[in-house]
Amino acid sequence: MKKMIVQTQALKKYYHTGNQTVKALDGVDFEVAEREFVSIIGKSGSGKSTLLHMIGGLDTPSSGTVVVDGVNLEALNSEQLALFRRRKVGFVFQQYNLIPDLNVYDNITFPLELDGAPIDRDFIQELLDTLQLSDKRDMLPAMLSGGEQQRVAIIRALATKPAIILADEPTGNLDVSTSHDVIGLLKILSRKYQQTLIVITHDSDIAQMADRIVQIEDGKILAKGSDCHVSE
Amino acid sequence: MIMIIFFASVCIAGFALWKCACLKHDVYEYTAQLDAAIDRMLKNDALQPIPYEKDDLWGKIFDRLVRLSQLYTHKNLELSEEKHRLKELVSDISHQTKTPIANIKLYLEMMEDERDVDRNQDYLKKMNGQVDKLDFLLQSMVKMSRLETGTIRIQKQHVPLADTLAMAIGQVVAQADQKNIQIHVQYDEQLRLNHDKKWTAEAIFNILDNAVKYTNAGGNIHVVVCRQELFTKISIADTGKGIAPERQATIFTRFYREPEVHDEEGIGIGLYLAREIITLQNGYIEVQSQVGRGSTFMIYLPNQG
Amino acid sequence: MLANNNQAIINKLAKNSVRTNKKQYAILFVTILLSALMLFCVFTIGMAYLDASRLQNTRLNGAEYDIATMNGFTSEQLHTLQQNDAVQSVGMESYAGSIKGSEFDDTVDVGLLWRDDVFWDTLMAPARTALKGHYPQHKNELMVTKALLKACGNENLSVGDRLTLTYENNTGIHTDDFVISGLWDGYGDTTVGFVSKAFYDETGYDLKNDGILCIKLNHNYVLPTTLQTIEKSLDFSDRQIFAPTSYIENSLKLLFGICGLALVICLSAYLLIYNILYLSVSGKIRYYGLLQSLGMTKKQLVRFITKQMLLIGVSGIAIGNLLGIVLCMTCVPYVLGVFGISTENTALQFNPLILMVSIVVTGLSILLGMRKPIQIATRVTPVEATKHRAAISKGKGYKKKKGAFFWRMAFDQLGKDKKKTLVVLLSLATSLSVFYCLTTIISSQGERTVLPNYWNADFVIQNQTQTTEDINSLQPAITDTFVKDIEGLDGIKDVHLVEGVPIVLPYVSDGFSEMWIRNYIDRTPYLSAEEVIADYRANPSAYYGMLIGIDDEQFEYVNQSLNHPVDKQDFLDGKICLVQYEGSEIPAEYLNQTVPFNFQGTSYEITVGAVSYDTQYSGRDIGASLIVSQAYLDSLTAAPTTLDMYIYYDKTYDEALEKKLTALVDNSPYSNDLYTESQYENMKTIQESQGNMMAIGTTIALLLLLVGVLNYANTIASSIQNRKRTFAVMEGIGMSRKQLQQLLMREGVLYAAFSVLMTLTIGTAITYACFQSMNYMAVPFKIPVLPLIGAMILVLLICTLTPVLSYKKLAGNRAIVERLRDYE
Repeated sequence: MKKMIVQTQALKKYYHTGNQTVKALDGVDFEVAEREFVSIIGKSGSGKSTLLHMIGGLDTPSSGTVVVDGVNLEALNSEQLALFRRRKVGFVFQQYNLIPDLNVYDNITFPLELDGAPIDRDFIQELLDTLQLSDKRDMLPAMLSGGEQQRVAIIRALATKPAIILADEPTGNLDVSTSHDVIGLLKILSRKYQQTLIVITHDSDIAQMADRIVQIEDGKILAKGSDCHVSE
Repeated sequence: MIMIIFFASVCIAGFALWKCACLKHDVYEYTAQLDAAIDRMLKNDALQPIPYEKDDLWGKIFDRLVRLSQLYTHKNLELSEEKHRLKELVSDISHQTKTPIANIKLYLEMMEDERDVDRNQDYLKKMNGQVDKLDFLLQSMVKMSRLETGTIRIQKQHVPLADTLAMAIGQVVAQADQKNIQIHVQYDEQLRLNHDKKWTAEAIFNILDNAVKYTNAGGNIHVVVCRQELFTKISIADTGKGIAPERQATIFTRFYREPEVHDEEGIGIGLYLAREIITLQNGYIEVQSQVGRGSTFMIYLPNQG
Repeated sequence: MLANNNQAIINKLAKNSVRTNKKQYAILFVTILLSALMLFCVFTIGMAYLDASRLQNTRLNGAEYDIATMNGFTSEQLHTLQQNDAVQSVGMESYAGSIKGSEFDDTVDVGLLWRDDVFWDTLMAPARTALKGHYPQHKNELMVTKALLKACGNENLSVGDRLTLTYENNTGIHTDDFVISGLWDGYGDTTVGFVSKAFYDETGYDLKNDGILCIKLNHNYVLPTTLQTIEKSLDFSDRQIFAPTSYIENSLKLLFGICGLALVICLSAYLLIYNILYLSVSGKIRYYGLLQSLGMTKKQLVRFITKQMLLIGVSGIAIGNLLGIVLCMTCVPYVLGVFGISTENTALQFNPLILMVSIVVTGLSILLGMRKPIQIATRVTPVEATKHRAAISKGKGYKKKKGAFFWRMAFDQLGKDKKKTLVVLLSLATSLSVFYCLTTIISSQGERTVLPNYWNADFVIQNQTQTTEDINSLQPAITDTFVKDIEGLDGIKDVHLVEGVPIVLPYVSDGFSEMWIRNYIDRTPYLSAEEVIADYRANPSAYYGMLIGIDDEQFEYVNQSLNHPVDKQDFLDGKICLVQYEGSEIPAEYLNQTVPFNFQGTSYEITVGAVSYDTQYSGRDIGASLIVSQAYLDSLTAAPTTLDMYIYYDKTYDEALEKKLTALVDNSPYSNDLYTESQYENMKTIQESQGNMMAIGTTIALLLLLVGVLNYANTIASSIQNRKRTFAVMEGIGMSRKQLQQLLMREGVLYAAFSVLMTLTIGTAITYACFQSMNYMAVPFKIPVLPLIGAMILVLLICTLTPVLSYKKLAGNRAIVERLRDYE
């Protein structure tokens, strides 16, 4: 029996714009096992990003519960959510991932420094080497290409050794082969460091790389995709 | 004036004392909490993650302790899994070796009874086949066990990938010729990559071997090397019968064999081995396949590191 | 709870953020620096000015008091004052006659005063610099100064010495021996002797009629109503006079003025800080979202923003105040000099309280400016980090109306973020209004201080050889050759002479001379009417008057100043004369009186045609000065004495001529008795001080304008930055660069127009209020049009050029497509 690191129950999120109510999430029951790589696919506006935000404690649900690593996010206030994000989650967004005022290295260590945590320099150097960014560690984000910025974001997401890595269209701005590389890296590294990886994408090629594909449409999970766990 | 200075210094001193007392209390409280947590860990209880109270030192340390505790639990789990896997491995090996040995025994018994030299020659040939199979099996076992126990040292060298490819392809050319399968290779001769030549060739060979095995006579195999931003991709596409989607993720498991090819030679560790080798070099393997139209295996090796 | 040790990254982030947003923070830094500097300077100069004027007031009056009451007081009034909470101390003094002569000098004219202990010990102390001996206790004791002793003919006397004095009081003239009980020195009138209570009691004066109360209030700054209440509580009779010093009347106003200026400085600093932070924060919503999604708590976020401001604020305030200290230590004496306060002996010191106030006030305006932007920042949710840049706002469709199209677009742009627009407008209008206010007040200040010369002569020379009693004292100090010399100088346009002769006005009962002498006696209370009249009868030449001849042009000038002009022909014919009168109310009975007078033994008669208040021609004689025509004077004597010379130049303020004239006067044997008054000198000193005041005022206004313009420029630059995609789209669909510039310029013009409008309305109202509160001289309200228009043109230029330039810089020569692609 695998341990479930993410569990959502009857998760709903409604947005009110004027007189209209948009159901971004309409009753989502979703589970992710420890060290699983799940990709979520769906059209834009299907609610996939909202689901990711709920799991990452960026947003609060209208109703339903989200339990991540044994902690019910509903019970947390904004400060506690910030601590949760800091310690449990690593984010990689589609764009604008990096703090423009800090150089690559400081960007990577930022979540660690926020927590006053010791910095494992060797580990970060190893990641920098793996992602071929060693020579750019002192550069500002503005001097990097899109793919390089994305790689820095990945290192940052890994640096805290969080339990979960959440990536929202991490390859949205990148060309096909680089996208593939970036996800491949995420996959290798998350496996290496025993992390759970949830990736949102609209690219079925990339989704294919996951252990499991979940499809979302109109705020609901359509079908449980190829649920074929890989045992090492 | 003196009164003011006196009053101010009394205030400052009072404040400092109060601050000091607070600090003392905080340190004691912190230590007590730490003690309690370590006690529980010593008793082998898993620490339960609690909602973070505040952005304070205790919250941070407790979070780390929880992580540590989880790591222990996880390690324990892994150890028992490993034990289980070893048991499986032993049973697998015994199962796999059982058949050829039984066959050899059978042939030996038959040979004892049989006086016909021609027939005996035939048995010997068959026995030889079984021994080959056993040998192959044992060699694979050795490779695998070395991999599993970590006795294989991946030794990376900055050498042309072309050499590695040639080494791998050289081993399957004969078989391919036999089945009249053409191997097309497309690569950049200048391309050098930091990788372990011997083991990478082994991995590529295993995939090529599979491709030759599952491709009907007269088919084609395309090997394409392509350097991407982070990885160098080696894709090996065959025109074989393909793999059903539900089985795509399981083909890399140990001793997996396609149900309909049990009669073919092999024990189902080739792909497993290939994946292990590539993973050890910080790369990964992917497969894309459609039933009836062939499969493509893609090996991704990092450009650096 | 032990705090997490995670401060370092916040500091680092704040520092880096300041470093990467150098331009923005440089503006903030400069603003804070300037405000701190200006605040410190305004407070220091203001307080120093107030202190100095208090001191000057004290020294001028010879005692530190706020209100004086004159012409006597009742004991109830004294009691009322002493009971009043606002009053600190009440000193009494009274006139106690005058010294007429001493054993060393027969002609002494020195007043005697009695002062009570409160006055002597409390009020006078700050004005005294030296004191030997004690205040007179006995009737024959006297407190003196060196100056008084000198006036009495022997300055070598000291405490304990005896002195025989002839003195005059209400009981007549007496001669007595006095012992010098004390010797003091200090400020105020030092040629006054102080006498004992015992002496005073016998002088025939009493406090009811002659007593003076000097009141020191508890506070240096009081409301006008406080003064009014005190005055009301005393219930004065018509005779009694309630005279607050100019210091106490104006100190509060000045204090308010200083605080007002400080407030304006704070306001503009606040507006700028608010605006820059607001812009910066609202442009960084995603940034804050990102920080939060990475696990930054709201507390850390607030600390992050606060830290940035702290870095800027602390350094800005520190450097600003430091500059202020340096500036004030070197400049304040100079500035006070400009404002007409002598800084001699003024202990100007660095006041830590002012430093603290300026730090606190600047800090407060920073805090206030930060509040709202921080609120906005903390309201950012981490989800913002994931949101994509908002699409270009659709806006309302522009109805095509030729010509007005760009204006409407510009208008819409201003209306888009009303609050931001308002803040910018307010900031610009504040600076303009301060400039407006300062220039108005300073230019009117000039008008108040520049009193034009009589009859606008460029140079006036007066003969001052005359003495009161001696009819023969008048000397021909201005000789004919002297006049010729002057007339011969290059550049002299015109010289008008005033000539005169002393005349004897025989006593005529019920005639003009009796009226005149009675009027004189009324103004000199210690004189006994009978004695004077008897003396007059006996010796009319001691009460001589003057016959003063003026020419046509001078007559025209005098005549038009009269309430009832007289007939010129009658005047020229010598039928009527004008009488100079120094009182306040024209005695009606003077008019049409026939005045008989003797000149060189011959008797003449002339009728009084009018009474003139002008004292320009008056001498030191007791008798009347009759102004007649020159022709009439010439008919009486061939050799009248030249009294005054009014000299006019070809070129006003002719420096070379001025020098020659001064040299001539200095070389004259009578140079000590020649009094000169030069338009050039007046102009020079006044203009100099005015120019400096203008410079100081303009500097303050320009600094404020700088803050306003910085605010504007920053807003515009960031607005253009935000709209760059819109502009790229506009260019993409066929708008030319020129048209775009026109659009931007129109926005600038609108900003300028609205801020000018605000200045002209609200600014005028404020200026008018300020002006009237300082307008003691009832100078009409006049707007300095030229500087104001200049400032407005400057604002207009800056407003129109800033957006165009900043767009040019932004767009550069980059292709439209390239700019369209920018998203951050």
